[in-house]
Amino acid sequence: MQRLVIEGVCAGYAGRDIIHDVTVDVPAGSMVCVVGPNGSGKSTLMKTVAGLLPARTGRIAIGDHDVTALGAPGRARARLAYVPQERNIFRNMSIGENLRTGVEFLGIAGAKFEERIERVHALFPDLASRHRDQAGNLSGGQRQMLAFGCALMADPAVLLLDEPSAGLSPRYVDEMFEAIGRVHSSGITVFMIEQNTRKGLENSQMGVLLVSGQIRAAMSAAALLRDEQFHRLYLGGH
Amino acid sequence: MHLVQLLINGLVTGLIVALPALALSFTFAILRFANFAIGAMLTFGAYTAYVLNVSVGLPIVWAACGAAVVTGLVCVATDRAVYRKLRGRTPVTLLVASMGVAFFFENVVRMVFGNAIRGFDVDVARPIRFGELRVNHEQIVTLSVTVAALLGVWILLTRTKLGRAMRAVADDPELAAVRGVDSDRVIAWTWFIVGGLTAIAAVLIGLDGAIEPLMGWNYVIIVFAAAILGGLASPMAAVAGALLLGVTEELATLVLPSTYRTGVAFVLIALLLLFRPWGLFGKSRVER
Repeated sequence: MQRLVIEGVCAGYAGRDIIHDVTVDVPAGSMVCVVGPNGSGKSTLMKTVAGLLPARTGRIAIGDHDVTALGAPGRARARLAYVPQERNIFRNMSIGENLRTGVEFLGIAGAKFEERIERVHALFPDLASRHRDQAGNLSGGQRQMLAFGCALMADPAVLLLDEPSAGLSPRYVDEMFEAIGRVHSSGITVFMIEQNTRKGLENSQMGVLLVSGQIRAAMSAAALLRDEQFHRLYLGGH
Repeated sequence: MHLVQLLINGLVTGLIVALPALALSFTFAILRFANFAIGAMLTFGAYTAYVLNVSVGLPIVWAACGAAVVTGLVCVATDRAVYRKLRGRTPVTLLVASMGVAFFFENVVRMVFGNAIRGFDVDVARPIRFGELRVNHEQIVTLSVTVAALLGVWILLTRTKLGRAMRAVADDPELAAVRGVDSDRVIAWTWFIVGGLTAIAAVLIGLDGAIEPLMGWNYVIIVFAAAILGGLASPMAAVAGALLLGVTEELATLVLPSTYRTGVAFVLIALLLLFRPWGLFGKSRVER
């Protein structure tokens, strides 16, 4: 269980910042959800935390470990796991090989592969019998579960989820959030962004509102869901 | 000539092309560019083996192993010196850079060794006869060495951590990074393997024909053709492409003068690019 600290981070593409001075403190063992309109910079924020996009300024730390200078592979070894929204599985590898890639490049001596795979199977029984199938032939929902399973193989301290419900049918959305809940309750810190605002916040402890690359609100998820202005603007409610 | 004889000759011709075609599709799959310098690396590998075999006096087997290692290391060094600085640029930029690399190595070879035609120091063996079939000593060597190398590559790709890392980077470099794959290391190993395979093929070509500064050039187009025939991004399919090309060329001599052999290969490529531009075996790869 580790705390994730994002402090004064600016990042973007081709010299133009998309997120500005973003600070989020994700306490150890908590589940924090970032919401906001399309184009607000949620994905940019996620990529910056995962190490795919360098932070131009600011600091990112896992517990006491400052990972700002590390790229994505270094952060993965620092026990940060990231599930991208799209392109999140190796399509030309089998399901079993995909799960293996979740752990084998992290340089963990004596990682108990079988034990870890059992845990993933317990969470997603659908994957258990299909190790030899090519991952590219899975449906959208199954891909999402495999991607999630791969991230869990790493036994992460902090889990980053980029829109876990995107493209899923309602049945899979519930199944996915239930799985996230179970993983979270096993002691993993979860930091996610979600376009399904209500689902995301209902399942989280803290909510962060990102608009035009800036943090507009950070409060308990329940409070954010109740906030009248937020309700009107982002939930289309009454 | 006997049909079976043609098939055997065609398969062996194809096998010689198979290793560089495999090497070419490795660079294409992992580095996303068409490495035009593959011909120059063939020439370089052959001359390295020549030096070890004739000047140093090593038996050809050890000379070949030495050339594989040296060429592999030279490929890694070339990557550091040239291609690394251009990562993330367009494939055309890298293609042009590889042309520069090709000219560099070819001229280094020409400067040191001149234009004279050379050969390895090996005993000439009588062809073996099976009834009407004639099989050269070199053909048997080519067959066994290539099959062993291909088997090695297949085991590497499917059974080892490095192989899975290579496939992961080929499939999706960003996701591979997220899973902790150090792409610089994978790229360095890829170049080493590419150099090694190219040098082994160069020795086989040198055994079969002659060693001269343009030997690689003569193979560039046929190697590209084989790799494209298989579908550039799937390494093992390049091997099938090479075999098909070799056999088609030989069989064409049944109905056409043998000077048109290479032409037949290009007709095949043209047809393929028209009707199956993703390659003969490209379909089983999932692109989305």
